[in-house]
Amino acid sequence: MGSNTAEKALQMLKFLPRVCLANLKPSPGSRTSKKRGRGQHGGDKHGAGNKGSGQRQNYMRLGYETGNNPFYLRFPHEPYYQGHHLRREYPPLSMLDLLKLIEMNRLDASKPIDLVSILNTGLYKIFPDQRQYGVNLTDEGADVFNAKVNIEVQWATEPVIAAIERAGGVITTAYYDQHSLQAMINAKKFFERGVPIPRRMMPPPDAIEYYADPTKRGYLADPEKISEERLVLAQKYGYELPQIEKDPEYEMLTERKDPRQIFYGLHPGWVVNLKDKVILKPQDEELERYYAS
Amino acid sequence: MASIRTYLQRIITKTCFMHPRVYNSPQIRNSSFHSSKFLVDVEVNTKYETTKNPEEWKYVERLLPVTTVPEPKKLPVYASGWKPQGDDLKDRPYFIARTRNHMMPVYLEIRQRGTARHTIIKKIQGDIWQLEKDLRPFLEDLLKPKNLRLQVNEFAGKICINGDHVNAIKYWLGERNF
Amino acid sequence: MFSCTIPKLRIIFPTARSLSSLASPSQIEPRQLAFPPKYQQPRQVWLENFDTIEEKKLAILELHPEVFAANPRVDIIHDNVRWQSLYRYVSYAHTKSRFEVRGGGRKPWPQKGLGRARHGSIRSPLFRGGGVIHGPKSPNPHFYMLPFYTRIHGLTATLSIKLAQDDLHVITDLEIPTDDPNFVEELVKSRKWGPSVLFVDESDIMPRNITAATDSVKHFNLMPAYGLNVYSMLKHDTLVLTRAALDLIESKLLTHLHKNNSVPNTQKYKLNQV
Repeated sequence: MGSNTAEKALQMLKFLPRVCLANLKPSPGSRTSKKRGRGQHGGDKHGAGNKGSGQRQNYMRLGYETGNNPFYLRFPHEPYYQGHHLRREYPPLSMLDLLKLIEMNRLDASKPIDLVSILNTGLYKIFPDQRQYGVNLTDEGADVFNAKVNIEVQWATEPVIAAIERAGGVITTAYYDQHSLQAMINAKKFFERGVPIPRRMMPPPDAIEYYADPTKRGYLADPEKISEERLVLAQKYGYELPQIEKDPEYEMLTERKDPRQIFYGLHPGWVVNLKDKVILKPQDEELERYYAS
Repeated sequence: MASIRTYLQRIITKTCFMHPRVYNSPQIRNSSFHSSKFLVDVEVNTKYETTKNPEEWKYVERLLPVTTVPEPKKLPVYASGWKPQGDDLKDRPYFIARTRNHMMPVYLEIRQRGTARHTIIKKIQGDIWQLEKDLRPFLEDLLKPKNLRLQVNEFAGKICINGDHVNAIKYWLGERNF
Repeated sequence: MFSCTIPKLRIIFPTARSLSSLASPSQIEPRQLAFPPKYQQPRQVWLENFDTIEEKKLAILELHPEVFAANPRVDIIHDNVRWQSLYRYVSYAHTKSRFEVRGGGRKPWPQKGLGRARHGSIRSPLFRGGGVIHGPKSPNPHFYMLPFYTRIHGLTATLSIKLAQDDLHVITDLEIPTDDPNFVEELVKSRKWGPSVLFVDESDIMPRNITAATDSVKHFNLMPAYGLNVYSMLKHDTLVLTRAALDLIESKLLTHLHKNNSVPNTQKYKLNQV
């Protein structure tokens, strides 16, 4: 076994004086004194040039081009940016990355995987305030994917769905609104707020079509039609559709959330007390009706 | 209601005459820090029950993240292409430790607006010069007519190589079980 | 590199006396290292007793090399010490600028005609008794947060240096038979533990006898594990950890070095944490 610098240094320290407060020095060059450079003519104009608005700190307004039509006024209308601030974004997560997370034990494939569990790995992040609405599972690594998972994402294309079903898993696409996402990005912090778990809102009109589509395995689609589409995809991509009914993990694979549910096993309206390890459930009729609707 | 009353009061005082006893009374705005009273005796009338169900609590524990990076599963072959580090490396002259996420510490650094690419190997323990000796023939063979530009930083345990040889070096390290 | 002219200091030769006082290994639980090291050898330290003045070596404990054999970065230690001194320092120095100095509102003499230099106020920085241009303004806090991992590496480097220079001792616990300060003084003297000693225990509630004994002595200090810091470790010559404190410190530092998601620690330190 060779010795590296740390080992050599620790050996040297046995014979050197005790390291104490009087012995310390910063690394050379890390601390430079803020001394004003005194060049020819004593520094002169401090980088402000000679006369004019520059030296007199009396600048023209930002964007002004000394009279000609400025850039920011030249173009009256740019329709290709219309509504860009309202468009939903789904940051990508490749199937290869998902496979790595499962193989490295960051994600537990024996339990249903949803956005919360992917965020809890710490390796994939969502910023809901930047209009990011969830996971977009991409098809990079679809050819090597072999993990049997029950996964819930926010956006998936046909090859991705085929790859997961070929491996014997189940994929669902589901929508989460902004309030639900804020609760999901840091579930621990959300519970510490002492606020009841909110109801998940329905998708906006332009997204309902996607999430009600059985070809996209939407959570609002008819389960019978979804099983039909599973067969269709198996025939299209040329693999034998595994029978999940005979799978010992059938219960785990078919575990699904209610459209109004954010977390598995926890109903909207409940307050989770992490300190006393207790769940508070409302018994008021009105509240129960509201949260059950 | 009080806010509407005070709003109307203000309009009325501006538009017509008002008795001093009316317009001199202090304005109470409950949303203002200055004039709102302290909160006293808040009655929580909503009925709720406190439940302690271990089955439900399992779902809560599922939502809480782990503190430290878990150990990878022990599989014969990993479909993603990841290779674990070997176990009997104590007798090696040098050692390249894995990162906390069990990945190889070989990085590509891009500088000078994309024109300069450097491959950096970090976390080198042991005899770094021996590693350099072993790496040189492999890299020189890769580059063949071109020169190899390599820098050893013994103190920091780093080797910096000119060019993008990340995958080649990861393959070389993987062959040696690092 | 090391010739025999360099004097060898602090070599502890195992005497027959100390070897005979070894307790049987079955009584003391060996330490299990989390995140087992694959290359670096674990460090070893004696587990000593604290209830008698005479030193009894009870067992050998293994220490994780990532914490106790880390690179002894003296520059990182310097940064930590500088941070600890400065972050709570407030400078109360104050100088008056030209607007704060009394007087100087009127133009002292007309612009033209006198043959004198033109001035607008007698308190301008050019004048004797005038204001200071960029002088200190009170109160000036020097608060800043050292990056999280610089602080972690500061702790590991200091612990490694203490161990390497034979200034680290591990004892079973802080229970002593009497509350007499002389007991602790004689113990420290006989074991050659250095004039100043820092005793670190797991929690901040410590046994009565040790608190009474060390209360009057300024160079023996008690500290809970959460208070461990680079400045205190360097200020005291010897660092004495209890077994429980050692376990806690090592596990905490290793957790931070192998953390799953360190983003909350590495983000910019917010002064207003709600």
